[in-house]
Amino acid sequence: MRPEADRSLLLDLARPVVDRYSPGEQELFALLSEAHFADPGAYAKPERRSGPLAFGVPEVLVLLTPVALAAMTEAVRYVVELGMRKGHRVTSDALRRLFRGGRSQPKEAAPVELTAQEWAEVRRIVERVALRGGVAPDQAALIADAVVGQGRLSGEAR
Amino acid sequence: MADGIGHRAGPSTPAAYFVLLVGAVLATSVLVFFSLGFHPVNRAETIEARQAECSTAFDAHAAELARDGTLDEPGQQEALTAELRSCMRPVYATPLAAVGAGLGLLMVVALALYLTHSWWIVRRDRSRRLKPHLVPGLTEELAQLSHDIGLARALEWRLVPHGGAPSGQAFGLPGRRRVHLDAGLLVLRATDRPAFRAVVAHELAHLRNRDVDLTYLTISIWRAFLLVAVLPTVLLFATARGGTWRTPLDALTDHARTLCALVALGCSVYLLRNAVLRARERHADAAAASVGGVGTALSAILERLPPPRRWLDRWGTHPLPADRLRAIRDPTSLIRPSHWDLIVTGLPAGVLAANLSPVVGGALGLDPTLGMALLGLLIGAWLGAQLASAVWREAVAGSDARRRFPFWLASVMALSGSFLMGTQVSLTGLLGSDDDAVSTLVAGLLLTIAAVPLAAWADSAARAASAAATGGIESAGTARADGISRPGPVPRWAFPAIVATAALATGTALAIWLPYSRVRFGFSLGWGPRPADGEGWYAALGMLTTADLGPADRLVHNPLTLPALAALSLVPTVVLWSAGHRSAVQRAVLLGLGGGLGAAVVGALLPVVAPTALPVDVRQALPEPAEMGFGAVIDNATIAAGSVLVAVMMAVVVAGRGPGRPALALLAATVATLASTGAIWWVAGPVRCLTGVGLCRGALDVDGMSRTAHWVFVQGLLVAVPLVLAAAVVALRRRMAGGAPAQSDDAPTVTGHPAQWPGRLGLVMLLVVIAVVVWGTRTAAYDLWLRGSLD
Repeated sequence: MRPEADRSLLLDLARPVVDRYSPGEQELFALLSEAHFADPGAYAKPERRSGPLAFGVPEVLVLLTPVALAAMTEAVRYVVELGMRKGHRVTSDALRRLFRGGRSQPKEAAPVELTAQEWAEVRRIVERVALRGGVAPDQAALIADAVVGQGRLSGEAR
Repeated sequence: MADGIGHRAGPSTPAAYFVLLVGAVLATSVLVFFSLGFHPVNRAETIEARQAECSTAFDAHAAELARDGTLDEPGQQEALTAELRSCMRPVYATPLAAVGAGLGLLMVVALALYLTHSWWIVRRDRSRRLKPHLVPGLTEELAQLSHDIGLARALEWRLVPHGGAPSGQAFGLPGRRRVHLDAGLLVLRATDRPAFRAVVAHELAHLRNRDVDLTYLTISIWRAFLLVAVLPTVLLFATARGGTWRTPLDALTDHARTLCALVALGCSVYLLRNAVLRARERHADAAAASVGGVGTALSAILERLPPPRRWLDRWGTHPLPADRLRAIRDPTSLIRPSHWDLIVTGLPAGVLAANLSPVVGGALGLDPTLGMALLGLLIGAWLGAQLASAVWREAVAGSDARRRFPFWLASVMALSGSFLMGTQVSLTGLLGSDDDAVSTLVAGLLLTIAAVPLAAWADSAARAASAAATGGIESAGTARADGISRPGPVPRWAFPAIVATAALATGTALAIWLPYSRVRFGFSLGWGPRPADGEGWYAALGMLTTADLGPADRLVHNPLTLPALAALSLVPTVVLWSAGHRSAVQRAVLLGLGGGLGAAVVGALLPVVAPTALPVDVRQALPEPAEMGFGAVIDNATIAAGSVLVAVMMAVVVAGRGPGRPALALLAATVATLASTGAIWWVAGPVRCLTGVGLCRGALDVDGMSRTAHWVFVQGLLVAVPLVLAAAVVALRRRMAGGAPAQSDDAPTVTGHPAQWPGRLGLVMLLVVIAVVVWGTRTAAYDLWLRGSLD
């Protein structure tokens, strides 16, 4: 599968990150998601508004929704490609279960499992995308940790 | 709150800058298109060839008329001159067409850019209309903010989902205003509500201040200017020779002066564009801070803005944070002008004057002097209006007391200096210039000196109006409480009237200055003709009272001289009168009448006393062609006496106390001029007739009386320069010595509920008399300006 094809999967995976690290975006999540899918590369081009009659606060504010969606897109792509190399069929449900746990996953979905090194790679991907989107390094690390989940990391991942 | 200054009638700073911008763009574009209209390579050759052709035809026709003996017949020489002008006219047809087409194209492009800005911004930001219930409470909050800031019309809120920056932007066309809210701004709302409100209030303030049209028109004009005026010029310079690309060095060496002119003007336009953009930001800050709860958050945002990284940033599109904070804390700083405003006014005007004056007469098919005078009239009006506007804004801002050097005086230096500098950066070097350093220096000094009283007048008039509006005169408050005096708001007409008056006066003066500034030693003065058989004091008196006043002669035969004087004196006088300073006005009128009385006494005594001081053979000596008879000397001496009295009365007013002395001095001069004219014609005239000294004239020769009035005033003005200066020094020393203005002089003096009719009646009578006198100068003005000579 191509990760961009299953938007609901990406939304499901990105939403908890946004809720946790940028609660101010909760009400805008649907709108920002829609804008992100219309132009997936825009998150990496943060721009300060300038021009006539423009005014704003001087501090930089990074929208986390497109960054989280982009990060999850990259992470899912990595896992799908990994699964294909291993000869597995990776479904959306399997990915949901992988990233969010198996609470509500259908039993027939094939399990997808990653080694510690592979989780570490997922973490690097998420962190790299977050940094590219303008997220501060500390927060990028936290987001990456949250996506991967501390329990899945072995000691050498960090 | 920004409204704190709104009660003062006057322009907003962005609007003033916008007017300046339009002026600079027009000046530069006219110069560019006129220059482009001439073929750049053989511009001078084309003109010279045509001049030679027309001169040959002119000489041939003149020789033919001389052979026929009809050359000196009335109107023949004028017809010849008109024929020469007509012959030269085609030379200017192409450049004029280029100016018309270029300006038209520039306006079309600017308008198109303005009309499409809204579409472009929406497309660029990929914004979408904000849905009412996207964020709970947001729509209501935005509506409340719009209401609080005073916006009556609904506007379209649009969300920019890709915009992470917590900012907004106002834009849109009339009737369809829009505000972009970046998604980041809505996120900010969740974490810092006051900051969100401050940003939105700032954008709404732009709409309330009508900044949107001004701003996007400014941007559009700038882009159209670059596209239509600058780009073709650059290409032309690069490809001027045979259509081949040349090195920049070639272009620089060949067209250094032209390039200097264009660069200077282009910089003016650019700086003015940024000045417009900066000014309206500060206005929006002040207006936004007036909304409840926004001021503190807005100040906090402004304090966090990064300081400028480069020195040049202070001339950028956004003001320095410190300036923005000052605008919030001291709204009067918003209308305070700077000398840079006047520099960017004067520079393009000077360039335009220098470049168009050699060609405007020929281009319009007029006498060259008249063409230059018309150009001077327009440019002078522009300069005078800008000077008065700047001085007015500074005066009502009330900050001049904090300056070490009066703003109005420094304004004169800035404006005249930049104007004169502009006249030196011109194309005339390519067309052949007859500039002379000494003549230029003298002309420049005269221009500067003449501008000083105008600026003082504008400052005085503005302060009088401002004080009348605020009841700022200390005693006025008490008087108001007693029901004695009622200073009201500044009349809405005060500012436009003062600016229009300054424009008229400066235009009149520059219409004379400009043609003479192009002539070597154009401002030189000379003695008048010697009286027949005159020696000693009699000869000196005769030669002095008929002195050749050079260009001042053009003020005599000029239908604008007295209207300008009347406006200069009456506009502020009406303000003073309505503010209750009626005794000061009455005193000035009485002084003027006193001057007329003095002229009557002198005019009656001279024909009687002078014969006793001169031998009969001198009195009866027949004048040679270049001499004057005794009667003419007495005539001129009487007029000169009237002029001296006019000057003395002006000096007395200036040396006195109280407000509005520059205007009241001119009022005294106006009254004294008219009264002296009456005295000369109706008292001195009959005495001369009865004593046999001079000719007997009719009592109602309007043309003659008009000429007398003009001579009395113009000579009086020249005599007044040293006298008024001395009087001003006396008044200044008295003030510096601690002599506070006497209460009785400075305070409004109206008691009870005075009838208005005496003042109005006096005003109407004065205007009627001035109108009659102006009417009387029509023949002389026609002869001098349109026919090119006086009979």
